[in-house]
Amino acid sequence: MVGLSVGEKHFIQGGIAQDLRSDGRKRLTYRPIYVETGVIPQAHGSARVRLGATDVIASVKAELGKPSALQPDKGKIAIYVDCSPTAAPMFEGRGGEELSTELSVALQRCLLGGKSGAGAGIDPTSLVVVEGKVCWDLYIDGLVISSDGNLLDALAAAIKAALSNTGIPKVDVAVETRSDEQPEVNISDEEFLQFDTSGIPVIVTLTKVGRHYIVDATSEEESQMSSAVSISVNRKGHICGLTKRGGVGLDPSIILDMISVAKHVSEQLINKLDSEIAAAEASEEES
Amino acid sequence: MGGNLIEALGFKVSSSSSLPFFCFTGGVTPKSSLCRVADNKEKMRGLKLPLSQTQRVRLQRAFEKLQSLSAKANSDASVTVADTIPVNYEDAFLKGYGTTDLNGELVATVCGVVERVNKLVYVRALRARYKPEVGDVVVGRVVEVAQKRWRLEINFSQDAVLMLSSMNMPDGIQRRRTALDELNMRSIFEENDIVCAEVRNFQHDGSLQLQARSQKYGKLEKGQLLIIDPYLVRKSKQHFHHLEQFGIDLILGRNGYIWIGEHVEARDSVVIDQAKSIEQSTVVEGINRAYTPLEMRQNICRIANAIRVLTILGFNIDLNLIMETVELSSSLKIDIHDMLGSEFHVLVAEMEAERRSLTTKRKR
Repeated sequence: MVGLSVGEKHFIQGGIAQDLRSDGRKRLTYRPIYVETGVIPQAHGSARVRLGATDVIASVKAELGKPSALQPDKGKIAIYVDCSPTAAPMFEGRGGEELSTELSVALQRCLLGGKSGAGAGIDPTSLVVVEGKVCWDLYIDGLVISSDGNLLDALAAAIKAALSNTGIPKVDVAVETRSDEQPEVNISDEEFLQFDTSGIPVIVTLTKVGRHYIVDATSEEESQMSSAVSISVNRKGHICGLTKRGGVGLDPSIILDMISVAKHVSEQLINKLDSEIAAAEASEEES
Repeated sequence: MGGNLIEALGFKVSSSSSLPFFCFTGGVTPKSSLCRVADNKEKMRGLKLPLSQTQRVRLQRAFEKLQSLSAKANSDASVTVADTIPVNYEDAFLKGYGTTDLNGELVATVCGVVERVNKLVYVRALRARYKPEVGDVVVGRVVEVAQKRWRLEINFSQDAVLMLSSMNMPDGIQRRRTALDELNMRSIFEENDIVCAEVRNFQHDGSLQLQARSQKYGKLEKGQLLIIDPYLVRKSKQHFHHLEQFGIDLILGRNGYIWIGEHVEARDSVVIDQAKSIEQSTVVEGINRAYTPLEMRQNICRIANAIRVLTILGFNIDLNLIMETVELSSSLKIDIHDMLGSEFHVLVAEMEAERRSLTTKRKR
């Protein structure tokens, strides 16, 4: 991270206080979002999202596995994020591990719900093939190629786009099997099932600088933050997850205010993202 | 023969004379003679903008117009790696940088433009680090305060050095620098400060030495720094621009660092007396009156966005072009943030094509 001089820091803080940031945005305006789907042909679904200079790729791979004994009617989903050294030199080797774990945990909390799978954005019961015996394991991987702030929002958007792009192959199960045997499955190459992604939430990160909050901070603005709250909101306006970063304590009334601001911002974001994903899928079909 | 070399290098060169390096240079520099683009789709993909079909067509037309107006319509000038350079082998010529002799033919080793100076034939790489010349105005960031000098980062392969003796002292008297001056260096420039200086000479190990003796050089505050590619800032007579109608200083550093900030009266490049230290402490307390006024901030943002648009389109940055872009955006009442949208990019390309065709018509 390049340092900032005192004069520059003052300029950034002044901009946020006066509702005019360095690139002309208002406090609650997102940078233009560009979505491309199908960037990794070997994966079942993939997407690349660019938010200003922040560039992330998400890919979804599905494998057949055995459901856990505690939840025989649910499939398994795992989310993991990796920060590539192309994003910043400090990510080389094990340098990016701390940030990767933080992002992975935040995404899991926001998208996967609780231990029993209740309240998850992605419904795990749709992943089961034969109850108790065979289910789909979804591995969602995120890769940060270039980092200019607001990684969490970009990754959540990429995961949503990748899941809409995912096609799970249809499975034919051999009917006559005894109950204690593994059933034979035939994975179809032709037919695919699409996910219903309307229930998947987006993440809105509010960064507090001085007395105001901004949405979609660049890395310069993030260096000035006192604290940041990432709120995951779905289409119905319900909160699916909440994460707070940064050392400065926040008054509870501020958190409630931030939640209502995030809910308001998320409506526009979800609509924008859905239209971008639809456009990306359409252009992918053309080419 | 050429094909084997290309495969060995792992490159795929399409059979048409398209320039694959457009994908990552991201634009056209119409002032140079880079005209040879057969595959316009490649060029469009280099611009990371979501363009609708009509916008794509308009942008293509503007670029084609600019290409046709380019002074040197020499389509053989641009080369990629492993391209043969057309040379008359009977004349004696000198092989310069970026070329190599392969099986009796002169072949390029970098992507760029062929330049010929008398008998010297060389390839000037396009996307390279900043190439300093003596007397260049550069803007840099202090990375280290060392013994009797500051080290500045200026987008060059090494850090530049600004000696304490190359700076004017606050009292204005020309005198020898004492040990006390050395101890007080941090009160002049600290780490991460932005400094404007001039290239004095090259040191024996290839690094730069800077000087900041004039009143116009020194620490830059109250503004923002933009980082662009160095090749877009050409050498001109004036690098310091004081925009009176906005009250804004614009400094075009030749190393690709551009400073846009509030106007500061030309003063001694070093101000470390008591008045300033008091002012800084009140600023730190965060009183609103120390912030830049809103109208000036809007102008700063507009100019910054204009420069961002011009770099995405690959045009050379000079004051006239920036001011025209700003006037275009204000006359069309485009919101400052919308300047970074695709529509405005297309409008700017069209405007530049229009302007260029008018000036060439006037010349004829």
